[in-house]
Amino acid sequence: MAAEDLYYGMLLFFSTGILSVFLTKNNAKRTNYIAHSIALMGCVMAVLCAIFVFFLGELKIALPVLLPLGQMGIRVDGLSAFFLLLIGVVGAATSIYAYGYSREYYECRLPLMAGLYNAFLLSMVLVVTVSHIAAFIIAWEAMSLVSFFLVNHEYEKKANTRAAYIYILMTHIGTVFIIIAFLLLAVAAGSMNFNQLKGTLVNDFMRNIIFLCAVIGFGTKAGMVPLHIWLPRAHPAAPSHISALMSGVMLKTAIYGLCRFFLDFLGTGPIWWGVVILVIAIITAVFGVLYAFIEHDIKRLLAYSSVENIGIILLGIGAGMVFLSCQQRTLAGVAFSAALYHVFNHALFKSLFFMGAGAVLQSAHTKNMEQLGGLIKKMPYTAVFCLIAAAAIAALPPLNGFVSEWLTFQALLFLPQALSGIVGKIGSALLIALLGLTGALAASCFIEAFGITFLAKPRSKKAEEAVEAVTSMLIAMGMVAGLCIFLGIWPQVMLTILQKTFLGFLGIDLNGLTSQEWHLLSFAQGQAGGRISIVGVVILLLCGALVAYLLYKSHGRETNTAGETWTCGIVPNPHMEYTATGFSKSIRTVFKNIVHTYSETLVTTNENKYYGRDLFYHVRIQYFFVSVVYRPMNEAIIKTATFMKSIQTGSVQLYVGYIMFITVIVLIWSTRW
Amino acid sequence: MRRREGAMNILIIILLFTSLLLTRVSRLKTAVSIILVQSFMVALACGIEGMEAGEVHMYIAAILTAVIKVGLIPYALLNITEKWQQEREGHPILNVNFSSIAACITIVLAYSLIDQALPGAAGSRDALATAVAMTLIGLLLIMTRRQAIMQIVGLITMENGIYLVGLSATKGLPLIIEMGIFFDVLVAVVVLVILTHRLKLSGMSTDISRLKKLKG
Amino acid sequence: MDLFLSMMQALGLLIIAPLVAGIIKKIKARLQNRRGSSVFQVYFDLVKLLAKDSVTSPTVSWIFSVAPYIYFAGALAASSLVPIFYFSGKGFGDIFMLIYLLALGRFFLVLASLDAGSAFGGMGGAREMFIAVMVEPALLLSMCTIVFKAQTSSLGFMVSNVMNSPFSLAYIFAAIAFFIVLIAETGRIPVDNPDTHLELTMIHEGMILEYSGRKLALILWATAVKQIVMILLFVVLFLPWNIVGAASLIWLFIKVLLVAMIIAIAETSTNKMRLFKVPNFLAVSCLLSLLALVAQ
Repeated sequence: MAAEDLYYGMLLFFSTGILSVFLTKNNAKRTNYIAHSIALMGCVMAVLCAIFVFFLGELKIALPVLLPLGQMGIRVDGLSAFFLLLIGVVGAATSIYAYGYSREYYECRLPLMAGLYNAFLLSMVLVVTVSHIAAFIIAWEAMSLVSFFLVNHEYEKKANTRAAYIYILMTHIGTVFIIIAFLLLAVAAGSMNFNQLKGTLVNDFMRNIIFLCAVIGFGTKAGMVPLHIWLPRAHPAAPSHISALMSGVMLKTAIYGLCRFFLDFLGTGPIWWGVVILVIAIITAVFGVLYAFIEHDIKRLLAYSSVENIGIILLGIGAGMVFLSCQQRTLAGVAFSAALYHVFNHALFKSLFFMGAGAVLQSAHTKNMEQLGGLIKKMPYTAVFCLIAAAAIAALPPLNGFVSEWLTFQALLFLPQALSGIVGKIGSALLIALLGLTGALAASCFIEAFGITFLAKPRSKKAEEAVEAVTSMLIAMGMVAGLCIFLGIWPQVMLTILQKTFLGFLGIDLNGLTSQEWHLLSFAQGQAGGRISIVGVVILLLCGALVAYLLYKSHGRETNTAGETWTCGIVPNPHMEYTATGFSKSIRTVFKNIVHTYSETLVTTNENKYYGRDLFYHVRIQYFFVSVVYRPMNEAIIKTATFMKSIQTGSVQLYVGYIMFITVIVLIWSTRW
Repeated sequence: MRRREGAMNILIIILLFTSLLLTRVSRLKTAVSIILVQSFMVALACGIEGMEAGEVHMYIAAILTAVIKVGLIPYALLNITEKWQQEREGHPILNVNFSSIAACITIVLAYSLIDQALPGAAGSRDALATAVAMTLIGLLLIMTRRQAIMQIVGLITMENGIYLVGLSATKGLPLIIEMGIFFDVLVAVVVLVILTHRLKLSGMSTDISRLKKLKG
Repeated sequence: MDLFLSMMQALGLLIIAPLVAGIIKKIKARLQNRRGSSVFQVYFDLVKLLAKDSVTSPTVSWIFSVAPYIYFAGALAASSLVPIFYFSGKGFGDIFMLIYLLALGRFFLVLASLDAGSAFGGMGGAREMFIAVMVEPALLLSMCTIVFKAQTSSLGFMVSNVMNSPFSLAYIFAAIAFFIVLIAETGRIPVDNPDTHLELTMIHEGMILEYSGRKLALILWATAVKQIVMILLFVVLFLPWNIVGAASLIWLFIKVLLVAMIIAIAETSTNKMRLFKVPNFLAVSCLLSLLALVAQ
């Protein structure tokens, strides 16, 4: 069985990668090449394994490892294969990227990072393919711990340790809920094997509890609001290719968990499940993109944008669940394919932009956008790839972001069929409008991110001295950018893969979407349906550009004289350029009730008051969820703990007295006095 | 047989007596001597049971108990107490009379528990009750005494009690378990002795209640 | 075949767009008691600009050169999707595709405005994105009435559905809501002033301040095409009478003239709003759309 061999090969490669680090510890350069090449091979194996599973059918392996309560097994069905493909593609790109990027870390414990990188990939692969509860939890914990160490890699900076601490705390809170959900199902089914867990075995009340626990547990890892506070701290703290992996792939393992629960274990539930997820999703999307817009640190901006995109993915999943509850198979197919398509797209374009941000960080040594600028002339290729990523995030045709956004809109459009009445109509209309709002905000956000970083003149010395990124980084970015364009122009490839993903799930029917002519993307529902043709639009765009070019050339050659930018007659200097804070000012003013910003204008006068003053404009943000949800909770916990502190007086005798007291009580109680 | 039962009865009475006595002493050397006697009695009890059952491992356990708990540990404790000038337990939390009363209440409690839990065990009722009582009296000692040496004494009393429970409830615990319990306590005692020594070396008093000042 | 006809439609709209822009200017002038320039003035402006050379700042990069092409191509592609004749669902026009094609052009134009490195460009670009952020939800909401009724977002099906349904209060509300969005999207008073060239009071003109010569001609033409696309959407979706048949072209032209007149009257009778009152204006549009949904 080819798929089985490939799977074992992949596990072997990743394990070898971890071990090879011990052998080459002393020579950092060799570690870099060897460890990352092995990781690359492992990722290629993952991609091949996934493709084989798609075409040859499900893969089931029973490993001889005997865990308590059952035998551990590996089951790679369509859903797991999809996420395996995702891990493989993004992992391969980041491995190639890591060749060039790791040069920065030669003195900074590179062998540790390379070993942990392989371990990270291994744990993620295990998470999406095991089919036993205990094995899943072990793999999940391993993934969290390894990523904690990676986030904490540069522990010299205090911000990084704090970020890692909050991350590990939040992820463990999530894991507790996941374990509760799994155990409730296992108790009812009497077995810990995924094949035997079915939601029909529990009564309705329990199913709701399991649903809520799964949502909270996986939502913490995915970055759902209000459990997202770790995301914008942890992703900037990690090295850039790790951030790309975390943002692109690790968040998606949580989506995998959610899909498993909703499609496989719990089955069809009441409608309010889908509605709850829809509400959470739209709040996540709007908040995520608003906070992204007001940041001026590139990586924090990208982290908040990941929160927004998780919101869009959850919109698709929520709509899909609503349709599942109403037995609408085609529409459920559209909704879930929108969600999973966006999963793949987001992995691609977010990791691309993180890689670009890493390249910028490596050459300009700063993440602060207010100090960058003019990089398009110094790093032309990086700029092109980042532009493709920015355009894809803004959901512009003909890139892949548009296709998944269109599919999500279609899913929301048909919601009134499932949620009847005025409330359903108004709710769906609001969802569509808010999704449009997030789309436009995302476009503005990435115009700001790309424009302020790459365009105009450099705003500081660091930006002036930037150089182009290393070739391996450019190759990796180019690969992913090419995939973005390919998936945008030809969505049928992805839709075929998605059809194979959902083959095993009866409530979803993707036949309507895939069996069309090669250049159309359409589905039929009732008398109508939806239909777009990306290829047609590309041809139209090219024709339009051709017409423009003809017009341009219609009057012969043009002479282009150079004249300085108009700044009312004075020589322009970089201080006159627009800043990121300035660009977002108008939006901040409109949304100021949600985004509480405090601006400080500092005036420092020179000694000679005739020469004018120095003005500094500084904006601080009070994070809504931190101040409303988390801080009060922290204070309550600390108060309770202080109250309980009086039990511990520090006297050994008192402690022994406690022991004796309890021993006597237990003795009396156990003999049923 | 009857002679053995009689011997066991005498041993149990002596053990109970020693535990009660421990609550009344205040000189450290006396306490260590009493614990020596107590351990010797326990080793004897194990030997007698071994003769009755005819198992080799009980002899091994008895000899080990004798060597370590009668020989090594009291030797080390006496060594330490000799080095120090202070030989008295200062002022325990419960004074001697109240400690004795507490010990008596414990013995009554132990008897009632055994009657409640195991009503049919006629033969070893005394042994079991004494064992439970010794354990609880050991805990009481740890709780109410301030000197580190006294706490080690209490710990050894507890261990003797547990050992006795094992001995009288079954006809000899498997060697592994006995070894396990044994080494557990051995390590605890060793650590305590070393730490007490260090405490004394660094000039601090070994008054446990002073440790409360270390609380943050 | 579909593709070829769409391209022909696009070229046709390309040629007509400056005429409509000129007509609006002429009506405005007449309402302000001036004689005004000829209706073909925009053509003359375009021809003049196409013959000129350009002055480019050395700060800019290739994005500045490429942006006018993309803006033009986006506007043309969007114009080919509007269902003037194809409303049987055979075409592949989709409302989301149209909106996002216009967004594509806007994306690159705002990037180009940041490229020159001046405060005017940055300000113009920031304000343009601010208005775009407000306009998108309003636009989508005003479409929602028709979209939910037709159960599709394909423009052809939407038009045929609108044709067959009776005239109702919901449609009037949606029409007014869409009209407000049209004003915002095409940058007319009261949202933005298309006639001034003073950098601080304009949004669209501030963005393209650095352009000159042929590229400026392309951008102006594309703006005119965008305007006629929005007007045609309004006409096709909210004034759905007499679409079939040979006389449909004449009716179409009459309807476009009618809308142009309404725009001109609206422009002359109000003044430009403060920037931070624009969200309130668009909120009115959103509320009207929600009312339309409830009334349906």
